Amino acid sequence: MHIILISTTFINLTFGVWLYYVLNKSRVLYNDRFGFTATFSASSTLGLIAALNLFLLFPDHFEILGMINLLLGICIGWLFGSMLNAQSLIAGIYNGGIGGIMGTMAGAVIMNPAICGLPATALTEQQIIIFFALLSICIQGISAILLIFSFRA
Amino acid sequence: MPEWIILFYPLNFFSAYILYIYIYNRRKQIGFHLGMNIAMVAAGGMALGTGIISINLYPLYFLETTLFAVVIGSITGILFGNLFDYQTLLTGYINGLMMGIMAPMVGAAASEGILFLIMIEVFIISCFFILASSAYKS
Repeated sequence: MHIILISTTFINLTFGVWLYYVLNKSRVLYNDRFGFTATFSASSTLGLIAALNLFLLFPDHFEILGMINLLLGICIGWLFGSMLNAQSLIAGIYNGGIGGIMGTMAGAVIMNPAICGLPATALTEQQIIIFFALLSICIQGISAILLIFSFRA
Repeated sequence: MPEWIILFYPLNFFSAYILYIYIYNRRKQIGFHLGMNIAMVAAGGMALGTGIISINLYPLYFLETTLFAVVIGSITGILFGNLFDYQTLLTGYINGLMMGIMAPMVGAAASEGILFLIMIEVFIISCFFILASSAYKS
């Protein structure tokens, strides 16, 4: 079970590093609006997916992991936002932090649905974890492909 | 929760379809600021409505509800953003995805009364009306 989650986390981080490399290589082409949009989408999805994977990997330490996820989202947003100017820096930091908080919340509700007053699901824990690992890979891949194709259009 | 809240699905989809047809005829006159706001509001509203209604109809299926809301929100954002620009498409897609992950939790936390659902529907439909009127003025 852990091997799937660890490999999922590494695949998603590899996607993120590749996306940063591609966006950083051609940053002289940006105008203001495209810098804002690219920072917004990249930092939101990367923060969300990284926080969700990390929470599924360590579900027992809520306090420390929430703080780490928030700081991780802020660091991702700062990294992507510092490519252009102050406007994209603010957008990246804010949306990365929001993505980190939201991924932590989604992971907490997934692992224990009684937080929101839902009844326990019929599925086992392994099926839930495999489902959300595959969903995170799909979301990350589709977002990266859409962001890369924006240079063609 | 009563069973007739399933009638909110056709209401949402039909009003979004009418809004799409209405904006499609006027898409050359709308600038990209208004276009970005149209894509964000349409994608977020559709994802919110779909997630809240679906988690109240089937409280046992959390995963399928989340997947359904995410797919509906993303497709709505892509369709509405594709009218204007590529960056509008990206913005609508991301906003639909985030609201789709958020919406089943909101619906599950407020699963007591029917009044909240009716207020959410009024909010979404009035947002669509404001979008249509702002597209009419431009």
